[in-house]
Amino acid sequence: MLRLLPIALLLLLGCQSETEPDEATTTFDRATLLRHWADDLIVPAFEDFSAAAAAQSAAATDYATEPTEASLGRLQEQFEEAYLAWQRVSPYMTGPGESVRLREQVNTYPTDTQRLTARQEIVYELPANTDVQGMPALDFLLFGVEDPALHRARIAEIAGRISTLSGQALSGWQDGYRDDYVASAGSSATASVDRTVNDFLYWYERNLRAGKVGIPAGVFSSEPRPELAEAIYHGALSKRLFLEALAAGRAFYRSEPGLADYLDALRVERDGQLLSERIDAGFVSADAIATDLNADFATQVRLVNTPMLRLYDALQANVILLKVDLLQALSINVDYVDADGD
Amino acid sequence: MTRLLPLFALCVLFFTACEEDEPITAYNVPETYTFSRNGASTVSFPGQTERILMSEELVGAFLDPQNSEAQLDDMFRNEGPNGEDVSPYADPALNASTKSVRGKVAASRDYFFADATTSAAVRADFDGWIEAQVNEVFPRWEALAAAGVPGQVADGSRARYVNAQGLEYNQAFAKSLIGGLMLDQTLNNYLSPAVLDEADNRQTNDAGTPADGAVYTTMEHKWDEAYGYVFGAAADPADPLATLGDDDSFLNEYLDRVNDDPDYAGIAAEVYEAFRTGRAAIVAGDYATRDAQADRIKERLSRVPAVRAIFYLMRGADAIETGSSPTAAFHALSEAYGFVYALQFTHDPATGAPYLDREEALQIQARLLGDGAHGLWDLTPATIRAQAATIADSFTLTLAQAAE
Repeated sequence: MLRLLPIALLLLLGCQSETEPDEATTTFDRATLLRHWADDLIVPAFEDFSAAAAAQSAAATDYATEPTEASLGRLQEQFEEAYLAWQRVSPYMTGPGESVRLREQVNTYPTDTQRLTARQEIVYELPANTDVQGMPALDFLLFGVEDPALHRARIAEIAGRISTLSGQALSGWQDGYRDDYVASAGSSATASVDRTVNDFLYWYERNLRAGKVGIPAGVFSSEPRPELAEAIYHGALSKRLFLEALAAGRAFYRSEPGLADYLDALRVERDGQLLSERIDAGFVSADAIATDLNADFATQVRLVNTPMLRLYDALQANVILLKVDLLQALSINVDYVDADGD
Repeated sequence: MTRLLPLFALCVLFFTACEEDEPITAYNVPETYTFSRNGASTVSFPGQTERILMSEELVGAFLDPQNSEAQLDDMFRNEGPNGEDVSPYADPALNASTKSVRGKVAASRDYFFADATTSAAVRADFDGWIEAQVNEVFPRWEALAAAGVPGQVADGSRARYVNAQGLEYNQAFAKSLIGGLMLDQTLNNYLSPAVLDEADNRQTNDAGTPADGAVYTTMEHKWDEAYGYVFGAAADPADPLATLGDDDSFLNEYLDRVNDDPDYAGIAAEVYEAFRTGRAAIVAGDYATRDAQADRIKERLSRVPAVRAIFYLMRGADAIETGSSPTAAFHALSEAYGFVYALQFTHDPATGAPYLDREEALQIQARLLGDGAHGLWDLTPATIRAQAATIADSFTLTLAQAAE
């Protein structure tokens, strides 16, 4: 990648990183970058998730037809596979993922279990019913109830919807959006690089850092809230989900051409070290801390919360490097703000 | 004190040039909002705290479709249609109260004493939002909204409830109330010289004569009532900045939001300091300082709805451009719509009038709904940004600073 950018480098050698970023970033071959992201990362992630969701839906239909220990076991396995595949696609909600409201409908937790089980009929399209569907609802119905067989029709319904939605998002990419995405190679706020990076950071900050770690660890409340962790009913999955998500984030960041070598091309340093290496080290240290935690984050919070807070701090250190330093180097503005509480 | 008066006059004349300086006072301004006479606290504003709490319950009740229009009206008025006593609140203390939210909407001395017509029009606006929520939105509570059809829209992982134009009446009502109740009562009533100096208030205050059955003088109490609309729901009202923003969903919360914008950092501390200084000035009988501090508060608090209106408008414009559906902008635009309404209750101390009057505010609101047949569904970023620029000009704010 470095060889592609002699002009950009010359421009940057004699100045502060803030002074000429526009020249540098427009010199970067954004079309190549976008093609790589779309064809090698994003579309394959949607294909994987769509396939896993279809397999989960098929297993749920089997279970609904013939509820046995064996068919339940197969469904629970497919659930784990689909949930892991979800983590790998969740950073990529730019475009079809957003229009389908895929993340909201696939992974909003905690589930309102009372409403989920009390309602005869659920209109899944209604925004107010976002919290009675998706993988968290399946987590409850498969692992949190006395007899999942009593809920097998609803399980099949929800698994079917996840499969439908993932299929819609995938075909959105395949039927036109991929080309629009690659063609929108400018540097405006609505062009693909800006939007992809913003959506990635939003995911990192809200879903990875806050949703999986900070919120259950009580960073945003007066007390720890273990009941707000991911996959609480399964009881041994949330660490794997987190690690899968973190690895997906790191893979996107390091993939070439990608953000890390983009930074290297610009020779961005912080405190005498390449910024790209500092950010990568942040991913590695978060992974190391998380690896030592309980398989179930809710259990970890209940037993000893301090390591969860350390994990949060490690993730937070990278928020600053990504959201301030990286965005500044790439001349990208943050397009989201803290959500209102009201 | 007399030797200082010319200095004071100078300071008032060149107020903008002096405002960074410590206030010139020959008396102590306490660190917290704590004032006493003969060992007993003279600070009192229970009526303001009650109205804030009633407003909280009322705004919350907009989101329960089981409520009838009559129930919401009871909460707004704290009386029945024939003036009978009602108990519409969850909090028994509020049911026991005789205060009313509606009775103090558009009820200030400066703006509405001789304008019952406009006062009635404002109250009719609020009544209308209640009526419309119940009759338009509640019946469509479990249905998706579309252009021209009320119902739910998605805002992230949650639902918002909008009318046929995409507007959330609960947001319109709540943010308008920040203007129609909190700002109007604070800026245009209790901080008004016409109220502070009414009847023999100066003589009784100079003599330290308490109001009937109270520890405070009438003038002290009027000032405290202004304070109560801003800080009356604070966990510790004497030291409100510690919990600013967490204490209510109205002026307190949005003063905090504006204060969080680095371009306006310190505005909350300035307002708090001006309240303490003005109150100390009343105790000392220094009415020039009192009025100078009142003007400071009027100017600062007037910025709150203006900055928030611009902020939400610009955010709405961005959301239309980057979102996959116009509905992504509806929540921000609904907040903006309410804050725009609130602008008619602001108070420019230089003119004694709002920075942007009722007619202009209603015109901006009409433009926000006027790009097509379906209001916010058809609204363009260009129209939104033009309205934000109009507000910024009226308040001499910088668009970019307010938008952050």
